[in-house]
This record gives sequence, C-alpha cells and structure tokens, in this order.
Amino acid sequence: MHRFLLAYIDPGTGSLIFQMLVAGALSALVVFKAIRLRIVYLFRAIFRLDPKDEADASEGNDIDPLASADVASTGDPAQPTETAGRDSPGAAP
Amino acid sequence: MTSTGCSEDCRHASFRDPSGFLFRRDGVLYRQINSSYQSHYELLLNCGLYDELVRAGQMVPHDEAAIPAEVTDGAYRVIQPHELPFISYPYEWCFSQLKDAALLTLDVQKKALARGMVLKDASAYNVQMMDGHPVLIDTLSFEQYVEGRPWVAYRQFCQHFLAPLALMSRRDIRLGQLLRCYIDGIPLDLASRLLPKRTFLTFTLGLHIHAHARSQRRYADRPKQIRRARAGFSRRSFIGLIDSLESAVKKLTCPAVRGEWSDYYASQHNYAEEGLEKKEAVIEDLLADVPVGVVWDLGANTGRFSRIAQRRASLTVAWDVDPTCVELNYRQVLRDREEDLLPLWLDLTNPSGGTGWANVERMSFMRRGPVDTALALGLIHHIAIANNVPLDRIAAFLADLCRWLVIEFVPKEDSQVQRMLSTRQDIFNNYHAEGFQAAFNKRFTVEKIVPIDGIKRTIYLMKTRNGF
Repeated sequence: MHRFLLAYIDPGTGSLIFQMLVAGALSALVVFKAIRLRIVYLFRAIFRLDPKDEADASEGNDIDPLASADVASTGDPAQPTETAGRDSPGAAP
Repeated sequence: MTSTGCSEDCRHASFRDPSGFLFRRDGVLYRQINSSYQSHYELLLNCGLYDELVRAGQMVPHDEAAIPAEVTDGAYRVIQPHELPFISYPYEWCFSQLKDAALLTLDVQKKALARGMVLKDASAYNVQMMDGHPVLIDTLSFEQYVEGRPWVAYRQFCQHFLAPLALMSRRDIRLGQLLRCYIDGIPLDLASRLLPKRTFLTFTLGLHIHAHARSQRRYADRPKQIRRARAGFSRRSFIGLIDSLESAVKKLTCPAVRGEWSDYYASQHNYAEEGLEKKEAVIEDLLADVPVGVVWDLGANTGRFSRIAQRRASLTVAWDVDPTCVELNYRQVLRDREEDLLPLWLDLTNPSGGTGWANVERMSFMRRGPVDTALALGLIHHIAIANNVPLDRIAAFLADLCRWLVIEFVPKEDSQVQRMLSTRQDIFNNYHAEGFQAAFNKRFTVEKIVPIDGIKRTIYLMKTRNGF
C-alpha cells in the first residue's frame, strides 16, 4: 500500500492528487506573500512606520512565510521555529 | 446534579482512531493511548508542541495516570484529560463559533508543522467550546510530519469547516444545519452545487471547494494517479495550503441576516427597558434560594437573562433557535470574556438527536441533561401555540430536563400571542393560566408564583417531581 494511504481517515484520492497538482501554485503563493511582506518591511524601514501599522497591513498574519519555510525545512523538531519567522524588525532583511 | 458533559457516551465518540480511545472509570474520564501511537505521543511532548498549545489555551491539558489500561492488548499509556463541563457539536454552533474553531485548527496545524508534526485529522468534533473559546480536545490528533506528503486531513478540513462556513456566509446561514445530516462534513460536490456561481470566481473558494470537488470526482477510485503525481508536496506548498485555507476562512463573514427575534427586546412593547429590569430582578430573586448549578436557558435570545442566572451558576448554556441571536450572544461572550456562558443554536421543537454510528456517536440534546436549573422565559407560547405542542407534553419534556424550572406563562391576552393567533384558528382551549398550572402540577411542584407588574405574564419557580 502506498504510504499516502496510511492515514486512519480516508484522505480521499482526489484530495491528495489535487494538493499535488496545485502544489506549485501554493508554493508560489508563499514566495509571493513573503516578497510582498519584505517590500512592506522595506517601506517601513524607509519611512519609519509604526510596526503596529505594518502588522495591520499584513492582514494580521504575522509570520514571514518564506522565513518560516526556510527555517522549518531544517526538519529538526527539537528546535522550535515559531519565533524564527515572526514579523519583527529583526526578521526583516 | 450537574450536566453530564461526557458520560459513558465518551467511548462511543472515540472509536474511529486506532491510536487510542476515551473511557470512564470510577467516574473519571481517561484516554488510553495504544502502542501504535507511542512515537507520535512522545514527539508531541518532547518537541514542545503540547506545552505550547496548552500554554496558549488551544488544547485541553492532561495528566498521565498510573492506572491499568482499559484494554491491555496493545496499550501504551493512560492519560487523564481535564474534563470539559459540556459537550456541544458543530451543528449547534453559530457562524463565528465554527469560524473560530476552523481558525484554531489551522493555527494548531501551523504550530505543529513548525515543530515537525502534522494534524492527521481535522474534524470539527475534535474542537469544543471551553472557557468561552474553542480548544482542541484530541491529544491523539498529531503525527510526525513526513516531508513530501500532502495533508491527509485536507479533505476533512474542507468538509467540516470550509464548506459549511462558505454555505452559511455565501448562501444561507441555515445551511449550517447540513452538518446534522453529514457527520463527516458536507460533501464538497454538494457544497459546490449549492454555492452561488459567483464563488467560482473567488480564488480561495474556487480552489478549495469547486476545483477540489471536481478533482475528487475525477480521481475517485484512481489511486495509481497518486504515484504518478508524486512529484512531492514540499513544506513550502504545505505552508501555502494552510495559508490559503486560513485566508479563505478569514474572508468569510457572518451574513447580516436580521433574525426573526434578533431585535425582540427592542421591538416588542410588552417589556420596555424598565420592564426588562424588573423581570431581571424577579429572576434573580427566584434563583436566590435555588442550588442553581448548571443552567440551560431555553429560548435565550441574546442571553440577557442567561447572564442573570450565570451570576449564581457554574455554567450556563444559552440555547436559541435564531442563529443571529446566538451569533450576537457569542460575540458578547468574546467581548466580555464570559468564560462560563455558552451560546448554542437549537430548535427546541426538533432538538439535536443522537447521531452517528448506532445513534450514539454524538449525544442527543436530552442525553446531555438533566441539569440543575432550566429557564423557559418568553418561550411557552412559541412552543404551545406556534408549534401546537400540548401543555402536558411541554411539562413532561421539561420535567425530564431539569430539577428546578423558572418558567414564564404568556397568556392569550398578551400582544405576542395575539399576533400569533391573528392569522390562524384558536384551537388552544386549554391555553390559560389554570390549564398551564394543571398540566405542570402533574410533573412539578410550584414553589413560587410572581405576576409581572403592568402586563399579564406570570413567572413560576417549580421543582420537578421526577426526584433527581
């Protein structure tokens, strides 16, 4: 049996294939979002905007997805990564 | 006496996952973890995810219990989860409760992925309302993340959360009740057919509902295709999937439906603000000498009188048939951080039945009682006259439900009843104060009677003769 089919709930063949079909687009979305976020960081740095305003501008999602994907891909579960991609000035490029 | 919350029925609700199950011994709730789940459980604790979620109030904590396993074959450990005061179900939640539960599930998934784990299921039944907000209750929902593997719970998340939320938001809020029919969530092909055509053009719903449903149809029974499409599902794609689902859920808003009784207090003239305050004082006075305990407010509207009862209660569940009232009530719970008030959506004339496998997987409304105290204020005319339920049947129903009852009798002279009778024949010969008392005297002893000044309504405090 294929390892994808080992879930105790039925993941649905179509649902699994669908995820893999759109994987590229989903990945691109993450990159696009990260670039957009970093541009916002840049503008914030240039115009010295209040960090609170910027958080609103990023629609409440305070994780830099590119950073979190990069850090998480180290694959070390013992290393908490939830703060690695936080939308803090220190995380800005 | 308290609400049963999770009685022996707990085991009926946790048999699907081979990783373990709930059981009760000497009145205490435990969860057995089987050996097949050992490595995942140890990872959950060791990677810090469990501590993080419990600290954030997103997951029910547990203690490890040094007792023998319930089923020794294949047993690994027994834990004692902190018990919930009450079990509610997704088809009893208002829009924002379901939305908050969906966002919780996605947030937990994000945190899990960051620590090398993944949710192996995304059932709405794994979430319960506790202390005024949703929490994950299934400790066994996590497994180690395997790079390249798609989210096995994607279909379940879409069926349990996204589809009902989209239907409630974009078609009709009452479609949330479809969850009563479909215990594993609303089938995506059905959701796709029911949603307005314009939702095909929105990116997130177009992707996760319509295209997803199409893919399910196209690839059903073609598992070999998985091998071919195995180009992989990178971690970044996984993050993109969760972000996209989160964006989809956040964009859905509760439709501004003006509920039948949403402005009930403001529009009806029987109770002006002064009258409501008097009624509050009466309720508070009646409950002063009663061991209030757990309260069910039946027909709670937006919870004005639930909050009076809550001053003395350990938990108040505020049931109402109008999803907009429940929505408003829940928003107030969030705003005022009212931890022991739980608004829920229920049609008392057709309450939640026992559903799922053998009709016991999800408990019926009655199975979750009886409770210490019930309020039935401004309710009886809606049941007796609008729904033709005889008074003695109402009395029998309430006597099985509670020990103490605060009930308001609304006579025919009341303008609300007059309005109800204006378009139909008056076939309710026994609907008067004497008939009401005669019907209820068979099931209850009347402890106090308080007429309300200025109008002809009367509030009774009664004690059931059922003896529990």
